Amino acid sequence: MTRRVLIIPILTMVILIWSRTISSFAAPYSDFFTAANPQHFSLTAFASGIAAQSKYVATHQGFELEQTLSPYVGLVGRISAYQDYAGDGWDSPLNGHQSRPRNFGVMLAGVDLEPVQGTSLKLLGGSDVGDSDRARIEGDFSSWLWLHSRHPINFALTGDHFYNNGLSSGTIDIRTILTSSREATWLIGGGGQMWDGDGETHLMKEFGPDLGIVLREWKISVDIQAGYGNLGGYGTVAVSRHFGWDEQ
Amino acid sequence: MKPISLHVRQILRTIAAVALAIVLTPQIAAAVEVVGEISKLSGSAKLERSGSSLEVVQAMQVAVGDKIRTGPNGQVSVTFHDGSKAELGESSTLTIDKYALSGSSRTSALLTLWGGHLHTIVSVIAGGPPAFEVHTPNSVAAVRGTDFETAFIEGRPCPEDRSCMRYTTVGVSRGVVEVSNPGNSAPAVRLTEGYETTIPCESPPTSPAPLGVEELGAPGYH
Repeated sequence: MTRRVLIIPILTMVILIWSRTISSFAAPYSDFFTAANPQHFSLTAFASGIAAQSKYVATHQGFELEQTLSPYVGLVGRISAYQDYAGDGWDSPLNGHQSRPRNFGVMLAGVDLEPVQGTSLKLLGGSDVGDSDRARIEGDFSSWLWLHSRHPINFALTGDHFYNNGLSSGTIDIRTILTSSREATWLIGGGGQMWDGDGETHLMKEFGPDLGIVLREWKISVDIQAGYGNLGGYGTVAVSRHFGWDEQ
Repeated sequence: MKPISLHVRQILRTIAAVALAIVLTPQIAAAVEVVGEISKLSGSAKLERSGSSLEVVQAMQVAVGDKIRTGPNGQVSVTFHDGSKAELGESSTLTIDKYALSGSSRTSALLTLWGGHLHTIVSVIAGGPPAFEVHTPNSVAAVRGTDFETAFIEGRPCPEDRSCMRYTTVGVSRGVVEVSNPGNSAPAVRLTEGYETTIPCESPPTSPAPLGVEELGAPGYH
C-alpha cells in the first residue's frame, strides 16, 4: 500500500516530464551545464495549517531558499517548524498519542529541476529534529499545461516518506487560472491528500475543491482547500510570500 | 541733419533685440515640441535632447525626440498634454519619437522602449481612435485600449526560447492591444484585458497567456 502511494505520483511525474520534453524537442539541453544568466536567488516564507474533523490538527511555517545553478537546475534548502495538536493524521510522522502539542523542526535540502518552462521537480531529503527525529524524503512536482491558452492548467503532486514511523503521504492538486489582472490572479481547482503506513490498514484519503489568489505586486499567495475524507471534513489554508533577486 | 545721440542708439538696439527675439522664439519653440512633463521622479534619470544630457527633475518639460534613461534605482512618470501617462521602470530607456497633439487631444503617438519596463496608460476619447503605438526593437504594440505594460529584455535567455537573448513582453490591464513583430510576417496577436504575450527575437508573438502565469507554481500546502 505504501509503495502504491509513492509509485503512482512518481510515474505520473515521469510521464508528464517526458511528454513535455518531447513537445519542446526543438530546444535540446545543450546549455544544461552552463551557468544560468542571470543567476537567481529566491526566498519563500510560508505558513499553513490543516484541520480534520475528528482526528488531526497541524500547523507549520518556515522558509525555503533556492539558488539557480544552470537554467535547468537549482539548489534548494528548506527549514520549517511543525506543530501537531492531535493524533494519527496523514502528515504525522509520530507514533502514539500524546496530550501536548508535539513540536519538531524539519530541515530539507536538494535540487530543483526545471526541464521545460512551467515545469518543476524538487527532490529533497533531510531530517526532523525534536519530537520527531528521523530522516524524511520529499518530491514536489508542478507543471503548467497549455501555458499559452486562456486557462492554463496546473498539475501538482507531492510525495513524502517519514522514516520515523514508516508513513508515506502524498498530495495532488489540479487548478486552472480563473482570471488575472495587474493586481491579482485567481485560481480554482481541486485536490487532496493520501497517506498510508504507521498502522493504517488501508489507504487513507481526503479530497475537495480549492481556491487560490496571488497578489501579484506583493508576491503573496493564499490557497484554501476544504473537503471530505476518511477523517470526515477537513480544511487547509496556506500563505506564502516570495522574494527574488537576480545576481548580475 | 542732427546726429542720433548715443542714448537713442542704445534704445534702438534694445528694440531690435526684442523684435528679433519675438520673431525667433516661435521657431525655437517649434524646434523643441513640448508634449508633456515629468510628473513623478524617484532615483536618478537623464534626459538627452539635441546632443546634450540633462539631469531629470520634477516638472521638467519633455518634447518630441527626447530620450529618457533611468538609473538602476530610477523611476520616471511622464504625463503628456492629452492626459496619457508613461511610467518608465528601473534601468530603462525610452524615446518619444512622435507625439502629435491638436489642442489637448492626441492625433498620433509613437514611443520606443529600447530596454527595461514601461507601463503606459493611454487617454482615449470616446469614439476616437487611440492612435498610440509602443515599439521595441522586435515588436510593435498598437493600442486599442488604455492600460498596458511593455518590457524589452536584452542579454538574458527568453523563457519561451532559451536560445534567444532578446525579447519583449506585453501585458494588458485594460482595453485591447495588437502586438506584432515587424521582423516576422505572422499576423498580429490581439491581447485583451488580463493577458500577455512574449515576442522572442524574430519569432511571432506567442498566443495570449494569463498575466503572471510564469510566476505561478503549485499551491503551498506541503
